[in-house]
Amino acid sequence: MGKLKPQPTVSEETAAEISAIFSSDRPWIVVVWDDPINLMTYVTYVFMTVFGFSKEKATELMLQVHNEGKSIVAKGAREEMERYVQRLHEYGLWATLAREDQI
Amino acid sequence: MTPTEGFLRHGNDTYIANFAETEREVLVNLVQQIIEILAERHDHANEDPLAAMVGITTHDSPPDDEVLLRLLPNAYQDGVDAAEFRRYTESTLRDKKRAHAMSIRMLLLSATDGDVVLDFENAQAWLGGLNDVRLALGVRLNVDQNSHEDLELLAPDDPMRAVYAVYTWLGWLQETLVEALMDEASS
Repeated sequence: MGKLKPQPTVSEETAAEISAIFSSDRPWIVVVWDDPINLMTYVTYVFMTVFGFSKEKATELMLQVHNEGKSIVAKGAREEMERYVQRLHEYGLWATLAREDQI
Repeated sequence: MTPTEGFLRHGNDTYIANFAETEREVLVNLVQQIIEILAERHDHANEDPLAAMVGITTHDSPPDDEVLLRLLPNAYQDGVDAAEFRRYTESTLRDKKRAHAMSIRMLLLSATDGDVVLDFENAQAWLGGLNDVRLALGVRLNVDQNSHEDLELLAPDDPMRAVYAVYTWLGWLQETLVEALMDEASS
């Protein structure tokens, strides 16, 4: 069987990813780290409040933090990510930010 | 209302819990300690009034004290970026945490018959403030290294046993408030 001709599909998302590769302004990410003190329900609630996530999405991310030790909860421009980290610190979550490729 | 219920939602925007006198005393004392430990990081007013006015702190190194470091954590793993971020944001974070602790203290001291009544905004302050107390106690109890089983088995005369009892009580109290708030968020 002959090889199929590759068919690049360029959705809006892909286009954004491509332009991000060439942009000097690679996205920043917010990482939330597991800690044994914060309650699971509390972390879920904070994700819902700070990011406006649904309960399902917030729970999924909370479980990722709990089971895998960390989770990337947001991605975007540095200033916006810094504001998120600040708010997460107000709630006492252990959050840091980094370049997407530095984690 | 019995003192064992924790926070319950009443209507759209009201959360009520009843506190026994000893519970009030314990919690007032704890938030007072949070206020005091945060004050240790306060800038010296005479250092640079202009910087203070726009919220720039003179601190850019992380706190030495473990509890303070957990309350005011580094935002970057990289030390240089962390110091820069801290310089511009730590005083705001400290003020927020202080305000949360003050809200808890004020409402506990003014509670009639032990009833604490929170609106949504106060509930957020309480969540953050209760969490700060739990973080402080958790660091002192070494919750990282000690499992809950270890802590349950502390000797009756170990002063940490009482601390652990307060820590678990606060966790339970915070959970009832989160659940009351979640009811609303999902409805």
